[in-house]
Amino acid sequence: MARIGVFVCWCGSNIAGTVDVKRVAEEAAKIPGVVEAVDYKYMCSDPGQNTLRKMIKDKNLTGVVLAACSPHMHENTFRKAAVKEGLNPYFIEIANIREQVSWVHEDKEKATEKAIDLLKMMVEKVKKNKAIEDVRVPLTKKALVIGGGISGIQAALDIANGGVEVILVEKEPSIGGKMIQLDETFPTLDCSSCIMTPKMVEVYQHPNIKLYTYSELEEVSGYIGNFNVKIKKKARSIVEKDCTGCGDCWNICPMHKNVKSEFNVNLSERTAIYVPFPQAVPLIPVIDRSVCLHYKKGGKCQKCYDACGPKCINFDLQDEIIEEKVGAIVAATGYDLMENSLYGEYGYGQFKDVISGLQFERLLSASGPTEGVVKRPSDGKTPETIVFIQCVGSRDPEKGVPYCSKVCCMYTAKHAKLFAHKVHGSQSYVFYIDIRATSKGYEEFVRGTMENEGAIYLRGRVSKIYEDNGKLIVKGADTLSGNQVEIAADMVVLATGVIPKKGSDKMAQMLGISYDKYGFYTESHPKLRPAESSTAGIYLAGMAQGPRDIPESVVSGSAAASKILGLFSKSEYEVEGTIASVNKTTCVGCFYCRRVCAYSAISKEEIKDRNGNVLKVVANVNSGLCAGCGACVNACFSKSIDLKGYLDEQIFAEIKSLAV
Amino acid sequence: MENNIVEDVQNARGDKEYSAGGAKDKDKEPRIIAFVCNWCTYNGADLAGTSRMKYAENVRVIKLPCTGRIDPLFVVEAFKKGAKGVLVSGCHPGDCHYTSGNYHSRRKYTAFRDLLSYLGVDINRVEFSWISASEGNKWVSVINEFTNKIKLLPDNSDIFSKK
Amino acid sequence: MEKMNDKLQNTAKELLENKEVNLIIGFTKGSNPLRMRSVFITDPNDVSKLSFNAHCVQDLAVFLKKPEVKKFGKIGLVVKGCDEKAVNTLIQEYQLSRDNIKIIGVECRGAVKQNLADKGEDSVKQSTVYDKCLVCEVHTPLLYDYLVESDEPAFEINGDIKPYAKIEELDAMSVEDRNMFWQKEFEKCIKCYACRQACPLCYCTRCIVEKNTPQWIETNIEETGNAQWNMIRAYHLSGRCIGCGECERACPVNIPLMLVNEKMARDVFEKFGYKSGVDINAKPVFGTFDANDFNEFIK
Repeated sequence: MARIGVFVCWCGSNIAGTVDVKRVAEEAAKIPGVVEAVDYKYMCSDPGQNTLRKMIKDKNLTGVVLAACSPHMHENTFRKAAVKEGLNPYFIEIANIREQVSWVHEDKEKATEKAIDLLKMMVEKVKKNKAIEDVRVPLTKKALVIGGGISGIQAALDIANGGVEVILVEKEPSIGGKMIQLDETFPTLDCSSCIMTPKMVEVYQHPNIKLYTYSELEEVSGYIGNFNVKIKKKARSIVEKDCTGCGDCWNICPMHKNVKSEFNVNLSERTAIYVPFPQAVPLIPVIDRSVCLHYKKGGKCQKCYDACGPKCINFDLQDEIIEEKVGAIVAATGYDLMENSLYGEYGYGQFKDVISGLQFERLLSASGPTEGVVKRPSDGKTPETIVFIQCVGSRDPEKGVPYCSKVCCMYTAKHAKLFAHKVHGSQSYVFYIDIRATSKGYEEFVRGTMENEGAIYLRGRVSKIYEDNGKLIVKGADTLSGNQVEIAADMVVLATGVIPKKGSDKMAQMLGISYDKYGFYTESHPKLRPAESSTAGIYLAGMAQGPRDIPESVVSGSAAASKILGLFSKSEYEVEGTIASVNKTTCVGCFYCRRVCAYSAISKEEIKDRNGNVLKVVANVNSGLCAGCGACVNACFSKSIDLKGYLDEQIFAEIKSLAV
Repeated sequence: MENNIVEDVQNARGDKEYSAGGAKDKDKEPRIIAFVCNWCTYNGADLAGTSRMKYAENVRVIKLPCTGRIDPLFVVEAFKKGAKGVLVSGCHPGDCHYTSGNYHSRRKYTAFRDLLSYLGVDINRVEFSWISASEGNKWVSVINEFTNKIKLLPDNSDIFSKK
Repeated sequence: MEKMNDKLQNTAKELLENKEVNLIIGFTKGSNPLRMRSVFITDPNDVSKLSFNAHCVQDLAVFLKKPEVKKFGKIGLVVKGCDEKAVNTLIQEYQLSRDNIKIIGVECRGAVKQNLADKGEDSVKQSTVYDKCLVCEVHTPLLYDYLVESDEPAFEINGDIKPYAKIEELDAMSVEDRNMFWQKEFEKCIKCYACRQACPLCYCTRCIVEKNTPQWIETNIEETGNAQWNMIRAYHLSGRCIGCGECERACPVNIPLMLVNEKMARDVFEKFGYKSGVDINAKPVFGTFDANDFNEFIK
């Protein structure tokens, strides 16, 4: 039999001024199961809490209802008080008679009646309450970072410096991501590789970081604190521990034509055995088996092997699967750029001197194919006039994407500025829609390009580009003056839109995190939980979440790291016990619950007989993942899943108490 | 129908028991039961309180974690227990604390409302709203407008409602 | 129909002989020549019992949910296009593994209403077939392992008969009149749950009506309980019902359940563009959402 104590709080005159608290307590005492109902001036005060504790002890209460302020104010206060008397905290219920009664009504009679109703609801609810134990999940204190770009590197370093082991997985042969391809960075114009390479080396040498390059995530299972991951380490054809990175192999490789360098965005060639760039980390080559003559011509060519001093080339190496157990994951898979070929009118691919922004970065870079001298890809001449086109694909729902790629305004201003520095007397034209320069020093930077470097900014779109007598004729609109303009340029640079890394949707599915319609990972909460994914224990960083610049990427990497260090600072991960649970006897395994679960918290469980034959497959709630929203309960036809703390029975009792 | 049998059954199951105060008089304001999510609408209703806004006394709020948990069965049960109107309210699209509970709920209620209406329930009695934690004023206007709307309707005669 | 039956029998025989299935569920002649009943065949020598004609009304997919059928493992099912959608839905909802079923699809030209057949009607035309046959888009099943083509031509539809005409009529009524209509219909309900038993998609082993903590659905036979049962049945089948009409056929008191099922199917299609039972890989309409879903009823 229920033994319920009721406390009606006056909150000074906040409640008692509008609600007849004495009458509420009197009526409450009449409800079957209520052993005592009292009113008190301030329940949240120490004496108030002591009254509560005393009654729990003296009357051996099985449930407590407080008619007081919103549960969002003091539910925890009263729960803690109950725990001190040995009562499970989930036996405390609160009828909100301040925010939702006394403060919003003036008629004392009606307000009092409403207060009694709300109290009755909670008494009926608490009768059906069950003890709930909070869930404790053990933690494997090791983190996995997916992606070795700047945000992944930052996350890995921060976690490792916090004393936690990190596994960093990078798909490409070297870490560095997109940032290492850049020349100088806005708005301070410090050279990207100068600030990036030390970080890359730090990763490589860090005792807490295990680096897997040329590797991909194969499989992820488990949940927060307890993920099992399989990493495919693709065969490099090099025995890594023996390689000194001397370069004898790639210098002798006969395949030095026709294979385009990914790092230089097709502006130069690379060999079949190669390092993507001289500062690669690790400085260990990889053989591209799709072009290597050894593999294509049945083993005839082995010039690299012959040249290799330590004989660390092994043509027969196979892909390796590495299994690791980690407690948390950072998804920092980065971005790609849109296909320029979408814009036929700009002639990308057709005219050699129409290039992308990233290609221009390589032309500016001292480590690039032209050693930092700006030259036209077509004839190697130095251009004197360059037209830059912004928003190629961005903010174009028709052909491209509706969102803004965020970085293009800034890097175009930087390109124009660097071009002016490198080629004196040159002229830049920039076609733009709007200029978005909103971070520290950004607006001044763009202004500087316009005012000090003489770049001409034209607000409008380009309609057509064609070649005429060695020049690129750019036709466009200057919407501010209302004129059509025609510019004879030597080169055109397209600021192509940012899109999620190819395969990011597959990655999200593997990780069980949600992603938006473009493929960018979505945050657990767009404002308040920007570093967390929808799945507990998986954090997000960098452009994989959406367009952002370098400082923001670094911040997001650090944010993910700090979340993980915070998580690992406790011995166990604790979650509120108000989560879903399945009645496995009646569950028929239609898995609608699994379909609606935003947290991938529901898995399939086989129910077997003693001989191991599968009798049926039912839903199973992973308590480490369940967030307690209850969407699964709504999805279940047979009501075989219920939400602790908000059980069907409790809601039913609440509604029933309101019968008129 | 033999009402006495029905009443017997209800009595035996304890559907009708004590009479401890509360608003029971049928002549008073039409009873509204509001099923709201914990994160947006409940906080919005609290904000109406902290801002000392005033609204009709007839609403009884039942708090759930998310609109995704607000089962259409609750709505029917509320009518069975004499509610004249039922409100389901949660976070705006895109704001759900649990990412997508409100989206799933919206889909289900789209079909459920069609079904109820088709079976002869006046759908004006079932209201659905998105009220964020900052929209205390919206909570007030939704409750007041809903109350006024219900007052203008003929007494419910549909099959789920208690006569 | 002879050629059809030959192919049907040969297919079944082969499947059983090659042990590709352990059981064939199909139709056989009943005691009344214009009534067909289900038959369960495990012995290849019994396949001559299999037969198909315009009186094969039952949705044999209903047996797939039965434990006594499930224990046979691999099953061959003779199935019409409409009923085959139930198989698809069962696969979609993890109640059936595609590997465990051989679908022997039969091309159906329409099924004669049983009440007419009982009076001797044997011809397939728009005035004799079920409403579902008039709106049928799947005379040839969408998914099958073997297809038994029909020997008969399609019947002619000239629009004289409007299928499910009552739905538009109900839609046009005032809510009070609709209420009156359904109240009268549901008054007849005796809570025998035949509608549930006949439905291939009502596969829960513990139906919500049997859950009594709490008892959301009243079990007593009175108007609220009756209405609630019929409401929850229709709600649980919204976006899932494939329109085989077995519930309505099974109803001993002739409640026009297809008027609810069909209405909900139309609504779901209109609002979400979803048709049930069409694609085994599709996400069920109420297992997913779109951020741009219908929002007009929400303040």
